[in-house]
Amino acid sequence: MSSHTLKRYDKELDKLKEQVEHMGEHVALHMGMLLKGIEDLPGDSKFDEVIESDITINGMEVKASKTVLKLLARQQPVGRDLRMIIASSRVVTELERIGDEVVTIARTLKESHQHSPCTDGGVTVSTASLLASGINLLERALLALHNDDVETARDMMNRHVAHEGTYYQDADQLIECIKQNHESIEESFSAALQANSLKRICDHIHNICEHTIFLIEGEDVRHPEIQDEDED
Amino acid sequence: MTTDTMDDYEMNEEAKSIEDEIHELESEDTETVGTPLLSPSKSRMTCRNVFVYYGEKMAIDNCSLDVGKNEVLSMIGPSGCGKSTFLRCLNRMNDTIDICRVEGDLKLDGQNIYDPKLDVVPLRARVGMVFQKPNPFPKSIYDNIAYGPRIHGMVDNKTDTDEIVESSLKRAGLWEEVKDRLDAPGTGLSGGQQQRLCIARAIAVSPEVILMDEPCSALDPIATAKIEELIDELREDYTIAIVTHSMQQAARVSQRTAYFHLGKLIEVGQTDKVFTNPEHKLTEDYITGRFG
Ligand SMILES: Nc1ncnc2c1ncn2[C@@H]1O[C@H](COP(=O)(O)OP(=O)(O)OP(=O)(O)O)[C@@H](O)[C@H]1O
Ligand SMILES: [Mg+2]
Repeated sequence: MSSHTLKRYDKELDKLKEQVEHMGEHVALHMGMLLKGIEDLPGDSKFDEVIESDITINGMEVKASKTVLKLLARQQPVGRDLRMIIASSRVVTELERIGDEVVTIARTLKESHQHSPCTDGGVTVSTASLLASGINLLERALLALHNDDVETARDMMNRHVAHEGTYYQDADQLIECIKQNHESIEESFSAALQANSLKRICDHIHNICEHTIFLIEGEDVRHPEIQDEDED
Repeated sequence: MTTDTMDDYEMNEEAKSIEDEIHELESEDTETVGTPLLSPSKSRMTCRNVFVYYGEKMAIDNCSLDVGKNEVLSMIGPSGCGKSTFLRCLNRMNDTIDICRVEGDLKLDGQNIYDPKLDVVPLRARVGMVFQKPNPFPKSIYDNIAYGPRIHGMVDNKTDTDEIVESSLKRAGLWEEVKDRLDAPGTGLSGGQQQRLCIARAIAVSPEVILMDEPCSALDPIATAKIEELIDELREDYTIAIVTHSMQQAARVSQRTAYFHLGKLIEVGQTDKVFTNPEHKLTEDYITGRFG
């Protein structure tokens, strides 16, 4: 894309792009830290670190939101610039929420110290395995966003992060396993909370893919059932 | 309900689909992307294959564009791209420029406006014009408005004239500010007031279409907002085509936007589409400020 006649506009847009990417990397690291915490169990020092590092993520959201506001107010963006700013603003919100879910998982693990993988029909799923594939999916979604790669975004939405997708199936299997295998209510509850948060993380990754498609194609794919009846 | 919408209602499905077919066929011989053409029931003015020359120099190169009923159409594009030239074709203002030659098929309500037998004076009442620089006549506020209706024989007594003056000034949102000094010269008003006076003058002769060429470029934000509000209100009764250099203004007031570049009509579409997701790269570059 060629540059704006007004150079400062380009700088501000580049800054927003960097802020989103940096925040994305940070959230992926945050998830990685949680994974490390699970591997280190029964020690729980990592979980405190995870809970604390959420503050950094929130701070990043605030900064990116400021850049968004400033761009909207001062440049009155249109076209792809406008879509880029709107998409960035939405992605930042998704990332912040992923951060929150990671904290929820860290909290439950800190309290219960439970982490039992479930094996069903030869396939083993666990909070750790879902988290590992979640990190992978998030990184791919962010890469697609970075590269304007609408095909990857679509493919991910369809195959992995949709409700029928691989990730969701694994999360369902985990919940099913919990129901059958865990004895104490407390244990089941904690495991169910984790599975639920893992699903929410998946939803947010799904949304990031939608925002990518909106950015590139200008099409809002979030709720295909809603008809556009806007009249000017 | 106006007769137009009645027509739409009464048109049966079959007639509609035939109309759509014609519409699609016609769309094929233009290079413009988007929706430059409208169905006959929706359009007030139709322009097909328009070329304009100043001497040897071509200023408009094969543009086809319809202006809809009750719509504000904005025309945008870099300086010198031909916006004003195209706008002036719509009421034959180019006739006043000796070296200017217009070719093509231009119609108002199906009537060829370049028909040699057509009288341009009533045409310019039906298709009024407001210019960049407010240009009130060197007469009183009252006479500025009364002049048109008088020469077009629309009024022959004082009561009727008073009524047109009042209603036009009200319509243009100027009445309250000038009702106590109708005899004062129009040129003594502020720039924004003068521009609303010119709009009132255009309205006074009951036009169907109002053409505006950068009507707010000399106005402050408050006067601009008043004109924009007025444009939005006038749309209920008139068709408006506006040339503007302000992207925000085009985005705010128009329903459709046309982008011109070097005499060619590049893209026409619903304004929200053009400003959020334009199809043509030239449009995108221009509206986002990546031009030149
Ligand atoms: N009276 C004229 N005689 C000769 N050439 C003209 C005349 N008026 C316009 N042109 C030429 O026709 C082209 C289109 O001019 P036009 O005034 O329509 O552009 P525009 O898009 O309205 O530009 P601006 O935004 O600067 O008002 C330009 O190259 C201009 O130099
Ligand atoms: Mg001009």
